[in-house]
Amino acid sequence: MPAFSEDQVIALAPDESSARSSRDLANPRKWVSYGASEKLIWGVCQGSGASPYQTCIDTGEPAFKCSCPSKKFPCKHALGLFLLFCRTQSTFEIQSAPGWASQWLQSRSERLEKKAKKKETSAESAPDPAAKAKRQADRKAKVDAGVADLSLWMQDRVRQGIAGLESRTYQFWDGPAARLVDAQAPGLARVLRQCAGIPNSGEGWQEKLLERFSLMHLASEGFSRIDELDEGVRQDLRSFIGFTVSQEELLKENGTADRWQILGQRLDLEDRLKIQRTWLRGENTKQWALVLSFAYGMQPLDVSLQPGCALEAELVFFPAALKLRSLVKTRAESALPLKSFVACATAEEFLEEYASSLSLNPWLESFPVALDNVTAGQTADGRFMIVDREKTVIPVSITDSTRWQMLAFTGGHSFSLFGEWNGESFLPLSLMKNGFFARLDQRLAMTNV
Amino acid sequence: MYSKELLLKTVILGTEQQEIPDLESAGLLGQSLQGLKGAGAGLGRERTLLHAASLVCLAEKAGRQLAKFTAAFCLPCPPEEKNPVPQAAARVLKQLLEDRPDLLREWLLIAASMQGRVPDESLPAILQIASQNKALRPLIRPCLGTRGYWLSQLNPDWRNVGLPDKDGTDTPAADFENVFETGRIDERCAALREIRRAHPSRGIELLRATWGTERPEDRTRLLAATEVGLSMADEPFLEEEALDDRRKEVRMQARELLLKLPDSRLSLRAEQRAFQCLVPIEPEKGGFLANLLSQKKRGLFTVAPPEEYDSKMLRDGIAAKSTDYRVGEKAWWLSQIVEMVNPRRLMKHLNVTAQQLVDGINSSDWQYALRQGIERAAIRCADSELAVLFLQCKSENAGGLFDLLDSSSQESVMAGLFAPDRPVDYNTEFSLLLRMQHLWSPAFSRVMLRALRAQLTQRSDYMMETMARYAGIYMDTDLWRSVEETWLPVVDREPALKKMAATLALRKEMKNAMNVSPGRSGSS
Repeated sequence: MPAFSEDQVIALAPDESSARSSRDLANPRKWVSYGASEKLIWGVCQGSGASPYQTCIDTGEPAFKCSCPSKKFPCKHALGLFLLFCRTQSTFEIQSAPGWASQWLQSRSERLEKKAKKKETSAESAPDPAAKAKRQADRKAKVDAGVADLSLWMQDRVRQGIAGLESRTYQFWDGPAARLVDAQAPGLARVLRQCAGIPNSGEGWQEKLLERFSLMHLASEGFSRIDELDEGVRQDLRSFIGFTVSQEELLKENGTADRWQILGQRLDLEDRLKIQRTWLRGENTKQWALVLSFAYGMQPLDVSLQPGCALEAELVFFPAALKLRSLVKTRAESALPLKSFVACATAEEFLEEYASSLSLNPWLESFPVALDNVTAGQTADGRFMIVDREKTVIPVSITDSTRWQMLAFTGGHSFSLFGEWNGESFLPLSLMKNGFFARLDQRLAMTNV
Repeated sequence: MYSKELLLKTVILGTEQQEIPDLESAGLLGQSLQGLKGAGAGLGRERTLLHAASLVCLAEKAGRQLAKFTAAFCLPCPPEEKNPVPQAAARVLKQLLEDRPDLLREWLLIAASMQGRVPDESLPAILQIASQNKALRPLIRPCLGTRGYWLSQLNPDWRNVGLPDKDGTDTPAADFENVFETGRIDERCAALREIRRAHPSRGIELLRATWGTERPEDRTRLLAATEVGLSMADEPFLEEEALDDRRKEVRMQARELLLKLPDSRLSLRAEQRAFQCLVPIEPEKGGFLANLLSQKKRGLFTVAPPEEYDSKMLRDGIAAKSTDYRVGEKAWWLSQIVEMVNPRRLMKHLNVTAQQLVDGINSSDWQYALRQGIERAAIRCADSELAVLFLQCKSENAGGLFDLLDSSSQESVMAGLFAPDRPVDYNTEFSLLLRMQHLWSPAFSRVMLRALRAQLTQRSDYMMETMARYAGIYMDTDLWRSVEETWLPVVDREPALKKMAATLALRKEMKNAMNVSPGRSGSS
């Protein structure tokens, strides 16, 4: 059975209160009986109901089942049982599973088999190429229209001037954004929605807004001549606008095998969608890779990639001029802890890298940066700053809690830092000092220092 | 950027109002912008502007240059002297910080006994707790280590947490005087404390110099800071200037300081007044037995409250009008007079022991006033013997008296209050129980378990829940392990007891994780 760490289990919890309740339930006193077999963990818990709840976990996925009436998934009983297992594995007697548990496992494997078969049959019946081409043409027409619409809207803004936009409501931005979503250009819609908050964000908002406009303008101009563009630029533009690439098809291609260092992770929340960005870098190829995973609403996030480890794996990259986004095709079961990571020596170096990456993909939003010999400290009047070894100040986007974490970990001494650069400021995600890797806790609300 | 500014201006005002400026720039960007000019007519003004904006914004993003650091950082942290606690202990701490901050006390005690320090990643959370929770501060300080102390000095919210390892050798005295002159009030108070620690007379000198110009609130706080290094040398200033201050708070603060000096004029005046009010009865002629009998009839002393209120009493901080509806004027003055004197001096004057004093007060007509006065005096002078005696007969100031006692005295008082055949007064007993901040000895744990069992039959849910909650946190875990079996059926029935059992299990797990040998790790 693969080993799970406590942190990974807690990360599966749908919300804070589940995490807390599951810790309470990770107490052998709460369980009437429990045990484990090769693939299964099961337990019986006396809850507040009349009959005790039966909980079982399939450690393959992991997948959970519990007879309690809770709507949350995984419920606190399943999490508690899992936690208990991770902490005190030896107390779980290896025995054959009780009837209800093995029955669940059986019906589950039957269902999965059916699903796999269905997929095969649907893949075998190859999609009608004519229908596919028509769908693609329809979509392109919709996006063309949406992009043209956006272009006109932006020209209106520029004609009237962006001076009065602070007083506009959210609807002013959301209306055109919704139209873009209808036109199947969700990427553009996202950028437009980002603009909504800018006019009231303080001094210098006009510059920020112009930057966002220029990004959308490049995209709309580019899309109107998409067939004339280079392959790489075309792919980047398409993914920026929101065209997806079939992951199934992608996984069939050959990937890059290497020992990938997992350097950092960031969680974003858009509406009810959780987006997790995991950054990796190949030890030998020095290639950067971004793995995205999504979870909607109560779904648990993928916890298979933990920052601070190095993993032997094969990654396939999405087509792009600047290869970044990728999928994990195959991987070793366990990862080894990181002792050090490759990094730029100075800020100038990473700015150069960023500039050349930008020249390949002008719509690049987050760029991974690893820097050595960085110092974080506080001036006499209480300002927090991060400087590289040539005393260049790196503007950071940081919460209070991250600031104190960084000072606590580094004590004012130099360390290696990893984070994202967006052209304007740096978002620290992890650091390493004396062979010790620490992931910085980033809450979603940011304040600029 | 020159062209950027022009561009922005046009975009802000709009192309209706503003012509597109001639944009120029160096190098490749300049060439591209020039190229736009030519194509401009076909594109329309807005599109041309947006084209230019795209070029300029992209160039700016790619060519961003960062400023250099010209200021100076605070010194980095000196090397660590203490070892961090073992990994298991660090994990337990993380868990406690998130779920069970009420169990932190025990973790800190165990960590201190292992000579370990809080791991770096938990330092911000621990410092935050220390800054808000005064009671935990003395437990947190020994576990901070060099890194923890260094970190605490960087955040103004946390500065009061860390104590210097060596008494202020790093900052020279001149610096403190500077801060005293120019800093904010809380910085000045801290600086004054440091100055008083090294040169008390200099401290008073500085304070006297600025006394007249200080704001009243500041006067009170600065005066409180002179508590450090208090001596008779300060008496003239306090008596002559501070006690006559216009503001009541300043006068009261001065009074408190003067009462700490047994030879100050205020203390002597207070004693004189008190000795006039409480007069020892002269032993009569006649034998020992006759005296004993007459003592029993008349008591050991007479009480003669003041007949009038004069300005001297006002100056010494005795309020004229009663704010306590239970006492009349004279009794009110009496209790205030008695409050100002150290009870030991009173006992010497009356030639009685502590027990005799308490008995005498309780049998007096002026019991209420005297109790209030002497109890408050006992709290001020930290007289634990009197505290125990007063706690045994219902006291209004039970909380303050209880806090004076050390842990074993507290336990014996509580054991007395929770005696099996004694009806429990929930208000007193529980308010005192909440003030016990140390881990219970096995003997006391037994007493409380007995009381808890008694509670079960009473069906008073709130009381039982409170007792169970506190028992979970403070009871001796080894004792619980030995009696757990007998409690099982009851525990399963009551949710409050289930929580208690879960807490006790968690504490045992914590101790195991930190590799503590069975037995008490020591009380606070």
